[in-house]
Parts: sequence; C-alpha cells; structure tokens
Amino acid sequence: MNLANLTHLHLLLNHFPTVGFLIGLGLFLAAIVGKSENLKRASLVIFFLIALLAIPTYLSGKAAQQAITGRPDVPEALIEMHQDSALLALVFMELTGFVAWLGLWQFRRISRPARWNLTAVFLLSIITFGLMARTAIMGGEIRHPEIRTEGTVGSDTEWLKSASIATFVNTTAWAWPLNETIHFIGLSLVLGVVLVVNLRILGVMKNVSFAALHRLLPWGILGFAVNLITGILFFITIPEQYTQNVALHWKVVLMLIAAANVLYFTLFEEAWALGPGDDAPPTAKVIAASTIFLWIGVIYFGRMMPFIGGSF
Amino acid sequence: MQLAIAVAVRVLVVTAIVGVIGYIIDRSQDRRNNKGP
Repeated sequence: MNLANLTHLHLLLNHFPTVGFLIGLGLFLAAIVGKSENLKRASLVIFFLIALLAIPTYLSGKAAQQAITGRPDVPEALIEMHQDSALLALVFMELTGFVAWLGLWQFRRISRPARWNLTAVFLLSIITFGLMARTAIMGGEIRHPEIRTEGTVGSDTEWLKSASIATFVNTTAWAWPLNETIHFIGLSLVLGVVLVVNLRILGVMKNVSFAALHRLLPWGILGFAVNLITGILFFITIPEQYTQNVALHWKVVLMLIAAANVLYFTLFEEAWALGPGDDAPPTAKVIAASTIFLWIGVIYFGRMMPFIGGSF
Repeated sequence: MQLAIAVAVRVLVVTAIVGVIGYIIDRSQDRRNNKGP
C-alpha cells in the first residue's frame, strides 16, 4: 500500500477509537445501571475490538505523517504532539482491551467477571476516552487551522515522547537485541497456547476438556501483549522501515483477524461445552484451523519483512 | 560478551515480570473456583 492509500486508511480508522469507544462506554454504563449481564459482555467485546482497531490506526498515522510532512501549511510540531498523544492513548486503550478481555474470560468461566475487573474497565475506559478525544482533536487541528486554539502548537507536555524512545533504543546497545528476544518469547507464548487450544478442537488430545485448556488463554493474551509492546517499540524506533512494508501490512491484517478469533473461545458455548472425549462441531473446527493458519501467516510475514518488504 | 550478559539479564527480568503477572491471573482463577479446572 502506498502513502496516499495508507493516509486514507488512517483517516478512515481514526474515527473508531473515539466514536466506537464512546459507543462502548455508553453501553457499558447502561449495562451497569440496568444491571444487564448481556450488555456488559457486549460492551467488553466492543472495548476489545476497538483496542485491536487502534493498532492499525496508530501504525497508519506514521504513514499519514510521511505523506504531508514538509508542507508549509502543516506545523511539524503539531504532528509530533498528535503522535505522542496517540502513543499514550494507545497504551491506555490496549490496557483497557486487555482487562476487558479478562472480564470476558471470567464471564465464560464463572458466569460473571470479578468485581475488580468491572471497576478497572470503568476507570481505564474513562481515562482512555479522554486521551483518545485529546488525540483526535490534535489530529484534526493538523489539517484544520480554523479549529486550532492559541498555544496548541509548540506546547511540550507529553509524558511519552516517540522521539526520545527512538533515540534511546537507537543509542543503547542492549535495547534492540533485548526487544527482539522478548518479541520471540512473546511469540512462543502466543503460538504455544494457540496450538494447544486449537489442536484440541481439531481432535488432538481429545481426553482433555476444553474448560481445562481455556485456563491457558490469558497466557496467550499475555504473549500477545508482550509482542504488541515490543512490536510498537520496533516501529517507533525505525518507522521508515515499516510504514510502507507490505509484509507488515499483511502481518497486521492476519494478526487482527487471529486476535479477534480468540473471542470465539471466550464468548461462544460450542467450544466451552467440550468435555473429555467430545468431538468439536464443524464450526469450531473451521475456526480452530483458521486460527492456526492465521498465526502461521503472522509469523511468516513477520519473518519476511526484510525480504518481501525490504526492511533492514 | 558484556552486551550478551546485559541483554540476558534484562531478558530474565522481563520474563520474570510477565511470568508473575500470568501466575497471579492463574491463581486468582483458582481462588474464585475454589478448585482447579
């Protein structure tokens, strides 16, 4: 995908983390007030899916920056502020998505999430929405001077600075190799859990009930979180290697579908009902096979980034 | 050699942190269920 298309993608995706998240938040509050368990689950699903969509939103933002950088009417400082604000918002968004998923996982196991979980989701979602709205306003101001307020450009208040992170990783001998090693450990954690859980659905080690393997899912999500953090660190450090890298584009697409697949195992009854010796229904088998296929695709395109995508 | 040790030590620290988080999630499940899966 070229810069113009990636910019289109960014302009399309950037509405989800704010508008979509607001819908999720509204549903969540309605669920708590109305004490509706189904609505609670629905809002947790929305938080999780929006957290996934926030990843390509963030990544495509760098390409959008590259497409307009150097234009006289575009203040570079404002783009940097938008980017740093987006990074902080992304951190909280992913944290919200992670805790929301844990809530869904608990719903599956014990028919309700732990009390701490809903409180944590509530607090995190409020903070995330504030940070996302702030990021969105800054993003709008880049190409809309008419809504810029006095003093927005050049104020230097960000907690997380992409430029400082990039400099740190680029000038610290152990930072990149550490990141790379941790990324592989995270990958092993994800793939290990993916294989064990999905092979059971496909009919391997049938004597194990699905409920027993369901217990492993948080370890897989933890591996995913580790790889998201380390992956974003790679991206921030040398974005030029990645923005137009076709292998990364495929990797992200496959990863998002594969990550959304985990909802099948946390939401639906079919897999959960599998006791020792039970054969999974065809739908479950199709989902299991596709999940394994998708994760192998993620690994393939990750490995192919230097070869197909021309990075490094 | 120094770099190898520096990376290895940090890898162990991060792995331990991830392990502890996973362990806590796992144990909290035990307490809630009052039994294993």
